[in-house]
Formats: sequence, C-alpha cells, structure tokens
Amino acid sequence: MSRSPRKAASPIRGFIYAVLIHIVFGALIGVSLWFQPQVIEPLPGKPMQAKAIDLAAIERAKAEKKRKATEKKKAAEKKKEKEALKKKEEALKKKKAKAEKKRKATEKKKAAEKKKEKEALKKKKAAEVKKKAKAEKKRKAAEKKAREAAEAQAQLERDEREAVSAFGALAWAIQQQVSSNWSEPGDFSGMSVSFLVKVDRDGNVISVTITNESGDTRLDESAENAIFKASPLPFPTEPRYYEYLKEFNFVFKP
Amino acid sequence: MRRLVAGMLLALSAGCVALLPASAFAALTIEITQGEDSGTPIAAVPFRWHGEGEPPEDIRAIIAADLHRSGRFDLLPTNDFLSKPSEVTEVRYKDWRLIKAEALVIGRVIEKGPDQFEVSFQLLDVYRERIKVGLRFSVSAAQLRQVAHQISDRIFYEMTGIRGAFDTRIAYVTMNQQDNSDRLYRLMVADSDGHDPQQILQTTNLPILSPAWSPNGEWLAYVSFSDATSGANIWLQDINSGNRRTIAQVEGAASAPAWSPDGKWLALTISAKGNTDIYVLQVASGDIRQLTRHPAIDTEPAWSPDGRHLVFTSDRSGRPQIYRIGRNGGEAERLTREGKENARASYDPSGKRLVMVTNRGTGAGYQIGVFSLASGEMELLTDGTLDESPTFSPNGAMILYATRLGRDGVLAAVSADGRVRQILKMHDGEVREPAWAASR
Repeated sequence: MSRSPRKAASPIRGFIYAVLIHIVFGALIGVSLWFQPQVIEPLPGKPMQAKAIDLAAIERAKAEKKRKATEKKKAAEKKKEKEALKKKEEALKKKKAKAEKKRKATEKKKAAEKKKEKEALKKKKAAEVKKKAKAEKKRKAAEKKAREAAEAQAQLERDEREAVSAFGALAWAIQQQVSSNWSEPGDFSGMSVSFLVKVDRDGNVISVTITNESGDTRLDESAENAIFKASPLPFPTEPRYYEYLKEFNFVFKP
Repeated sequence: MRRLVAGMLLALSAGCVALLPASAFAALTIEITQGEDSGTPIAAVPFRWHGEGEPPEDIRAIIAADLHRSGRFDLLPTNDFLSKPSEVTEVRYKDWRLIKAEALVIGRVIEKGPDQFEVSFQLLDVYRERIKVGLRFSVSAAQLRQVAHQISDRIFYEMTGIRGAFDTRIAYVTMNQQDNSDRLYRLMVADSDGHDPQQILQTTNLPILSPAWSPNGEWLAYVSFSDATSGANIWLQDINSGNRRTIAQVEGAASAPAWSPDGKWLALTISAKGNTDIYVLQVASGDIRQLTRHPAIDTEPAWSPDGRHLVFTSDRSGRPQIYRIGRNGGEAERLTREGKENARASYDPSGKRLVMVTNRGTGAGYQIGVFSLASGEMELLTDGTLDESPTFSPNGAMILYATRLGRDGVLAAVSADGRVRQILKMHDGEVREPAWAASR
C-alpha cells in the first residue's frame, strides 16, 4: 500500500522521459539536416597563357596540354565521379543513417509504447491485484464475522444447554419446594392449571401469571400461593444461565 | 398416607435448535402432581374483646379447633404472629406472607349490653390481599359457641368449597356403672366438637343402642327395651320435645335402625325365628317389608345417599363382610373382599365411599377404614385395636367413631383423609355409638 504512490508516479515520469527523448532526437535530426555539407562547385580553371614556342613543342605542348586537360578532365570527372560516388555514398549513408535513425526512433517509440503498454498492463495488473486483495480482505472479514456469529450462537446454545441441564438438576428440588408449599385444598383430580413464573437472579419469585386456568379458583389460587410461598426457589448460581431460566412454566396436575 | 408422585416434566418446546430471544424462551416446565400432606396454612388471630372482664367464650380457640380437626388446615401458632390485628385496616399482609399463611382470620367480640354480644370476623386472602368473606352476628352468651362453629363453617366453605359441618350435632350413648350396682345408660346430644352435651334419655339397666338421626335432625331412632323382659325394639324420639314411641311391635328383636335419605323409611334388622335379616319399614304407616332372606346373619343396614341401595353386614361367606342390595331387594352383591372381617358400613355423602370397621386378620384388631366403591380398595384411617361405629360427617370431611383410650371408651374424630385424629369426649363414662346429624 505504501509503495503505490511511487508506483503511480513512475509511469508518468517515464512518459515525460519518453517525450523528452523524442524532442532531443527530433532536434538532433533537425541539426543534422541543417549541417548537411553543401556541394561545392569546383571553380572553373583559369586558361593558361601559352606562348608559342615550337609547334611541335606547341603541338606537344598542345597535346600535352590536351592530355593534361583530358587528364585533368578525366581527373575532374573521376573526382566528380568520386565525389558523386562519395556523395551518393554519403547520401546513402545518410539515408541509411536516417533510416537507421528512423528505425531506431521507431524502435524506441515502439519500445516506449511497449513500455507504456507494459506499464499500463502492469498498472492494470496492480489495480486488479489490489482489487482482488480488497475483495479477499472483504471476504475474509465477512467470513470472520460469520464465524464469530456462529461461535457466538454455538456459545449461546451451549449456555442454554448448560442452563437447562443445571435447571434440570434443580427441577426436582424446585418441584419439591413448591409441592411442599401446596396445601391442595380439595380433590382436583383431572384438573390442571398452568403458570408462567418469573424469578430474579436469586430465585425470588417476582411474578406469577396464570396461563391456563383450571376453572376452579380454589385450585388456581392455592397453586399460585404455593409458588409464592416456595420463594426463593432453588436456582442456578451461574449468572449466564439466568437469561434462559428467568421464566418457566409450572403445571399443577393433581 | 399419600405418596408424592414425582411427575416431573422438563420439556423444551422450542428445542435447542432455534435460538430464540430470551424473552420468547420459557419452555422449561415443572409439573406438580401433589400437594403437601398438611392442610392449608391459616392464621387465626385471637378475637379482640371489647367488654368488661374476660370474654365469655374464646371464639378464636373454637374456630381453630374446628378447622384443625377437619384435617384441612394447618393452624399457625399465635406465637409466630408479627402482629395481632382485629380490623382489616390493621392488617399488614406482608407479615402474614412471611409466616406463609395463605388465609387470615381476624375478628372482634363487642359486649353490646347485658347478655348481648356482637361478633364479627373477616377471612382474608393473604396473597391477593382481599377479603374473602366477612360476617357479623348479634347473639347471647349461650350462642357464642354456635356462632364460632358457624364462622368455622363459613371459613371451611370458602377455603374448600365444601359445606362446613361444625355447626352440627352428634348423638352418642354413655354408660356409667357405680359401685357394681345399676348401669346408667344415657342418650346424649352434643355439638360436633363434643361440647355442650345434653341428655336426651336416661335408662337404668336397659341398654340404649344404635342412635340414628333423621335427615331433618329432629328425630333420633335408637334401640332400647321397654322393660327387662321385653325384646329389643326401635324407638323414635323427638329430641326437642322429648316425646318418644316405639315404631313397630315385631316378633323377635329389632336393631340397627337406619333412616332413608328422604326420612320416610327406616331400614332395620329383625331377628326372628332364629334368623336375622334386613327389613324396610315405612315410618308413617308402620308397614314393614323383608329385604334380605338368607340363613346367615344380615345386619347393620345403611342407605346410599340416592336411596336406591343399601349396604349391610352379612356373614354368609363365613365371616362378616359388606354386601349391597337394591332398596327393593334382589340379589345381594358382595363388596369387600379384603380383610378378615368388615362390618358396620355406611356411605359418605358423595356415595362413592364407605366407611366401615375392618379387621385385617393380622392380630391388630379393629380399625376404621374407608372403602372406595370404584376401586374396591380400603384405606385405613385409624390405628386402634377396638375402633368401632364410624359415621361420616354430613359433609364427608370427617368421621366420628368410638375407640378405647386405656380402659375407657371414648369418642374420636378423624379427618376423611386420615391425617388428623382427635379424641372428642373423655371422662364421661363409657362412650359408645356416635351418630352425626345431617343438620343442626
């Protein structure tokens, strides 16, 4: 994460470099064109002042001169040719250089593009990775949350089971205590009355609500009295059980 | 006597699967099938006396004794009382919940004038903090005991739903013999608690047997003798006027009279020509009809509350057992099959149970048992060796019987569930054959 700002800046910098390099090369090409050597025209030869000395000599001289001139011409031609060749070569060379340059530039451009592409890809990849990581992180968080919830639920269920079993261990004592406080003032065989009993953490009876009347108030009232008289009821001391046991049903079935 | 059936139910209706909010939970269930073996705890505060000197009667003591004797109540000791209110406004219900009273009786006796008293009481519901019943009586000193019994009846009814039978009378026979000379027999009538005994008849050397109340409580039928030479006969006596007459001149000896529920008939035993059978006599006309015809001894008839059947004791199987027969005769059906001997049966007011004397043949003698007609099972209520003549109270809640205390014959009462037994009469000579009146 901490590396990402630099990562984010570097492609920009690379792009700037690429542009600069292009400009530099462009300039260089311009300069090279500017300094291209001009073809220097050979100055025309100055006619020699001949003084007739002898014809032969003159002739010879003439011939010589002619030969020389031819030679000169030839030389000039040769030179010219050479120069042309040279020029041609140079041009070729130049062309070649240019082509090379161009190729290089293209290559460079290509490389830059490739680099750019690569960088973009890299960037894209990085973004993807980042995205993926983020998603993974999110998923993991969700998983953790779900696991924690499941654990909490499992714990609650465990608590509940433990509470119920703790209550079960005391149920007989509770039953005895209420039974022994119930005066059963008559024969109520076949009848039944139910109560919802709420207790505090010490087992003190807070409220007794009749949930199913027997139809005989003497049974109903004596049973209700019995629950109150039995208070406080034997009750688990473990505080986390309280939630599950704070209310329960009493059914009187004489 | 009663076993606590530990029918415990620990049910999870929602199960452990669905985790419900704690408020919606509450599926734990405890089932109670039987109450305790003592009665309803009740606190009776001594009645406040507004008058000169000492009150003529201790109303509270009479009520407490009545309620205790019924076996339905556990009278809390007055020493435990945190306060002694006599008015509703003085009652702190919390005080009474603390000692686990379910009901509270308070009252006062005001001397209004010469031999004029006002008795008032309230029965309070301690847990619901309300008055269940409150009454006021204006009476003379002589009526104070009766008022106390009437209060007991009212409390009994409010608490149990059963009509009280404290303000009723009992009849019994006493025998006194002084200096190995004459035997004095007395037919007595007293309050149901044995108090205020009144002599109805006295005979010398002529036994009085088997007193039986007419359903309206005005007549007593009993067995006696005109003179030393005559046979036993049935007498009817108006207990208010004292007038008496024999009901029928029969051959042989008549005994064991029993009134039909409508008071128009008497079942009785007649021993004639060497045979003893049950007869039914129309009181108004004196017409008599034989009900059983068996060479064995058939005696001690008693009517069912609906008047359609009679039970009686017969030794036709070799030993005395209880049989039942239709009021118009027919085939007698044996009811008791357990025990060596069963005798002197009578119905309770519901017609579902019989009280009788039983000898189980274990050498323990004779006790009082209650026999369920539905199940055929007998429950023993007493543990004496010579308990006899049991009779249900008119409400079926108690049984009066005769028993031995040392060398004395005494009168005793037992609650119908056998929990509370009490001796009612002592030092009154030999007390025999109690009978409980159906009404005052």
